[in-house]
Amino acid sequence: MTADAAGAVVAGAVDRQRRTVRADRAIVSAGIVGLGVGALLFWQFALGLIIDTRYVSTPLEIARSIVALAADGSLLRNAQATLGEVTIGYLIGVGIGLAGALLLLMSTGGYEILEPYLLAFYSIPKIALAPLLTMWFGLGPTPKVVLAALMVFFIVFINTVAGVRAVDRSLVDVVRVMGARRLTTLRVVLLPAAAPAIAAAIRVTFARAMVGAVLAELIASSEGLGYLVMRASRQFDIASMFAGVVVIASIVMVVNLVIAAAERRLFPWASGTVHG
Amino acid sequence: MSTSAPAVRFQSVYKAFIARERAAQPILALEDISFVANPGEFVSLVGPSGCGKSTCLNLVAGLTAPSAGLVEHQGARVSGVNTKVGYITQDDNLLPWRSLVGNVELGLEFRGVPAPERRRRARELIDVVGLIGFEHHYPHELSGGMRKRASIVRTLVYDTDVVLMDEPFGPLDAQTRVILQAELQNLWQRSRPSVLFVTHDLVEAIALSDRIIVFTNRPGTIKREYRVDLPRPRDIFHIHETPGFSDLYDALWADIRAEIGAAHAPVAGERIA
Repeated sequence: MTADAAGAVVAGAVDRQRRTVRADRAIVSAGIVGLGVGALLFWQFALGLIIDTRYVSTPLEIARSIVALAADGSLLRNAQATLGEVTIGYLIGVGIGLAGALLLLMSTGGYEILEPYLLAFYSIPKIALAPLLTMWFGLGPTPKVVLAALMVFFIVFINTVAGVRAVDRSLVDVVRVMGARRLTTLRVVLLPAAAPAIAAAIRVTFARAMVGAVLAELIASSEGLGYLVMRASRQFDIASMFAGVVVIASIVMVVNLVIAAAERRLFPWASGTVHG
Repeated sequence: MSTSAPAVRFQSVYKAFIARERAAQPILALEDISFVANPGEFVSLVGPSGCGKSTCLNLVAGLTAPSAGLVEHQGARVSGVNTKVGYITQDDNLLPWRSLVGNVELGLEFRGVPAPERRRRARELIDVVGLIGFEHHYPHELSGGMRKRASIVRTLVYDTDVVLMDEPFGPLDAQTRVILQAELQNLWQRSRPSVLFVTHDLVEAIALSDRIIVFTNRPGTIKREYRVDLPRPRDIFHIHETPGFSDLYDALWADIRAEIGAAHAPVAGERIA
């Protein structure tokens, strides 16, 4: 009898809490959609009253331009070119960044010796190297790949080193006393502990790889999304320029979502809340 | 007397270190420390904060070296990390990305014990501390007491002859502490390693130990040693009703209070509120 009463109270409370959560979520979703739609409507119908639409185009024109670019195949061709450069550059940057960090961490004093040079390298705005890379490697995909890799390498490198160095000393000590040798400690403690920092670096650097490749394309290229934007700009085709930008941003967003999902899958402890 | 070497021996051990790179004065943490822990003996180290008790454990574990003197484990000088002792730290230091059983198996894994035997030995001890059913939970899914049990069996599972414990029950609530003290006594009696146990809790020290070593303020020296002759196995939950408990507690507390008093004695001219 009393058990039934308690059950009813619990069920009621759970029900109310669920409804509150659902209502809160609905408000947030409505806000997100509303803001986006509002901005687009403003751009479409009201922005022209303030600024000449020749300079800012309109969402509908941009959409039409994307459809046209898709229809004649140039969107796919150029997106493929850019995505190829970005992917190769990104993988090279991540690989060298990870491998370099691990090698230095295994050595004694290696990181300390290289640190000032690495920081000097970090201070160079990589973008400023784009014209130089174009001179060295020509108009093909190579300078794009190199710039994308440079944009990625340092971030992955420094985050791997910092992540491993931030691991709780006492955790490492305990595992060493338990009998783990140097390489075992790296595998069992240091890398898993640093994995969230490394994974975050690997996730955020994809956008940087895209910046590097597109930028190199803007300097000099005959294909790619950057080339598409550049060509449109020479023709004063604002809608197509925006179309290129929208496509670039969409690719980065989709890839980020995929990497973030993989991250949650691989490192569940990093996102899990810690209970008392 | 048996001829076997003591499990742990400190002989005129000094430990000095500099707190910061440009610190003017080095800190003397330990001064002329000599004591032994015999095989199977449970020895507690008590004393005021910062008196170097934990440093003693780090010396036995080989995580730090003495500035002078000798630290021996089973008759051999400790130099470099000593993997032949177990070390249970104040924080549970479980690996967050490994399940409970994965953490407990760690030491066996490092020793190359084959997987089926690892599983069997880990399960056996997990059972003793009542954590069956939680083997595949991750540390963040366990309560503080459960994590502490896990960290204790993780160290006991690979059967070292010496176990170091640094205030293992410090962060726990009062009820959980007493329950875990009783469980520790049971676990210890299964394999009877020598234990060096650092604690601030005098009741805990009396309840668990064969011998209690009282340290002075920094630089830590040994002030006195007490033998705890209460019969075993002890009823941890009612230890304060055991004959002989009060006298020992009062004597220990008088020693510790004198040390705390010495550290906080008012300087000449200072007004006492």
